[in-house]
Amino acid sequence: MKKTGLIFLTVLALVTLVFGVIIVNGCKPKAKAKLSIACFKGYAEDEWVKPFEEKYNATVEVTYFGSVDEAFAKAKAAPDQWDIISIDSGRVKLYYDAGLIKDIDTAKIENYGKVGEYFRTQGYAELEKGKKFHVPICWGDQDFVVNMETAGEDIKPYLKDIGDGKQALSYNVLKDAKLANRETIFDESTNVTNMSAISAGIKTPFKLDDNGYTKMQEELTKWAQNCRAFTIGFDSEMQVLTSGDAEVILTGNNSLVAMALADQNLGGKFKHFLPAEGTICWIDGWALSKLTTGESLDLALKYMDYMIGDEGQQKLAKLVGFGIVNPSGASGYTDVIGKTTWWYSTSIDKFPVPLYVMVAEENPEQRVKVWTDIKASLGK
Amino acid sequence: METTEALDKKINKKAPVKKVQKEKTKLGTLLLGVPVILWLLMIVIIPVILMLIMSFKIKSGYEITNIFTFQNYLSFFKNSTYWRILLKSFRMAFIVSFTAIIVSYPLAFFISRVLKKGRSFLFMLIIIPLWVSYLVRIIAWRTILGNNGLLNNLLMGLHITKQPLSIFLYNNFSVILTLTYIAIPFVFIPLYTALEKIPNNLVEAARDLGANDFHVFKSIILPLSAPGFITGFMLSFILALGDYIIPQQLGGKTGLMFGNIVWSQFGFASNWPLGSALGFILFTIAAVILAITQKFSGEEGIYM
Repeated sequence: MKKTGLIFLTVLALVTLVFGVIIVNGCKPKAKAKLSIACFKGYAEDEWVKPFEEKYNATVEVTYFGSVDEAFAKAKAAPDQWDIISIDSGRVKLYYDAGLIKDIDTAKIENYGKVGEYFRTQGYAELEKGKKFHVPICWGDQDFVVNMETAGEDIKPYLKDIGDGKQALSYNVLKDAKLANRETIFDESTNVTNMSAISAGIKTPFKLDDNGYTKMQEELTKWAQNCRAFTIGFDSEMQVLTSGDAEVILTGNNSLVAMALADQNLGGKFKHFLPAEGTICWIDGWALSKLTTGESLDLALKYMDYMIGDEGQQKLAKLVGFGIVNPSGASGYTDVIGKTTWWYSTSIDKFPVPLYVMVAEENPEQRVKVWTDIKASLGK
Repeated sequence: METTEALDKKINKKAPVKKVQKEKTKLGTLLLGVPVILWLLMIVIIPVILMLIMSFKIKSGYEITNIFTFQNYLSFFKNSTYWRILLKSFRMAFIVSFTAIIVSYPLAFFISRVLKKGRSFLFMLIIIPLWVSYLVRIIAWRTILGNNGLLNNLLMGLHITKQPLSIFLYNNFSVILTLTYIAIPFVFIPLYTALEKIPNNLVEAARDLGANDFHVFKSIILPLSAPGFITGFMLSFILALGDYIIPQQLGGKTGLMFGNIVWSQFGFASNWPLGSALGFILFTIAAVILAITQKFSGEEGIYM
């Protein structure tokens, strides 16, 4: 009897243990789906990321980068570390050629139809017939910020009326000896080569031939010689402006700079000007990693959908102030944007100076070399 | 009392035991070294080997092909920009190291040999900047040297200048100044250790023999502190030679250094093989400098 009782107890204990394990495991919450985002600051803010996580019971991991150069280096070094990445129109082919991204099924993105036709029909995103590799979320241009208190008089000869009482500033201001060592341009090979090409009168700044290279290099060398420093991103631009280290700068972060200067009560000192000869236009958006599958893929499409929807676009307009792609979000713009980078709150079709939408350059490596050679020649 | 014969027997009996113990200790030491070797392999040797392998590949379009080639190294010698900037970086690194030594030596001498009290406190004060982020220290210098910076405000406050001077920032001067500031703790520590180790009785003996302060310094202090001097110089030189953030942040239009060229190859140029080759050239130069200084300073100088 004793032996039978012992066997019974042992079996009971084992059964309890097995069922216990099954029950405990069964009660464990299902592992959360994960979405990894690599982007510039402003494209994955807590304001919408947290509700997104709650809504889809998901975890969103965000990695920020400071420059497009850094983004590509990071994306290439660890392609399995991100599901979606924010890239501009000019880099889509770069990522595609590097085998990093795949096409996006826009039919699964409900709000895609709300994106303005101008953006949906751009050829840069259609790298294979009928397939889109980029979902645009906002756009922006490169322009001048001038400290009007110190350089207002010196820039007068370079101002040009563009209607509605507005003025644009010629690139020639970057070559004026009076403003030597009072100006900055970006330390980014693609932007500076494209803009100096426009300044040199080239109509295809992203596709330069030998003659185009010579003209662009001459122009860019003159700019560089006249500069005090080369900026690297938003912080660097803010630093040279607020410290008085530069009075005329080319900016790639115009609306962010405008809002930051206003926050510091410095807005009255500075004024934004579009380049009279024309400027480049980047269209930022999401690209999908080739390695994204399953739940992460679903989340990626939902995240893109949110960002081009009315609410997402309003929040984006309010937060970053750049041009939006869904006109329904325009109510999000603040007064600061209306007064400084005013062209964002109007339609892109009415842009007051020639606008060149960025596409992949003919040879990015050659442009890096040209820019490095120019910088090296200055540091002799 | 034991006879010599008996003692010899005892010693011979114990000898095998000692031998076994010695072998055990040797094995133990070897085993203790395994984690260090593994760590070195993982953190230093394997990445360097990977970089070396990459440097012999070639970029074709956006693909990196596995064709073995010296083309990237040839590009370095063919392109005058590369070696001209490398020479400039050498010049800058030398000036930085020399200045850091000139600043650190009297400081280390004063703290280690003149001061009787508060040595530890001053030692800590000098190495405190190492606790602060590298980038924060750079930005701090940008703030000090800028048009609206501390230095310009001071000069204008003292009525020495009427307007802010732009000569302090965005040039080679600001790069050298900041790199020197960053290098000082790395130079100070080996110098301090070397100077502190010099036995006082040597100095006293020299004085007893009639040597004055200058002779004591020339004949005893300076030669015996040479290992610290060389180690500090080497550390500072290597630190300055490869830096690319300070030239980028504070160098302005003339700030380009070799580290910036290496970095640019990993960005838009996307030419990792060339970037690796340029990086490996820099690494080899640093390794040669390390080997030479090790030879001249001796083991004690390097590891003290």
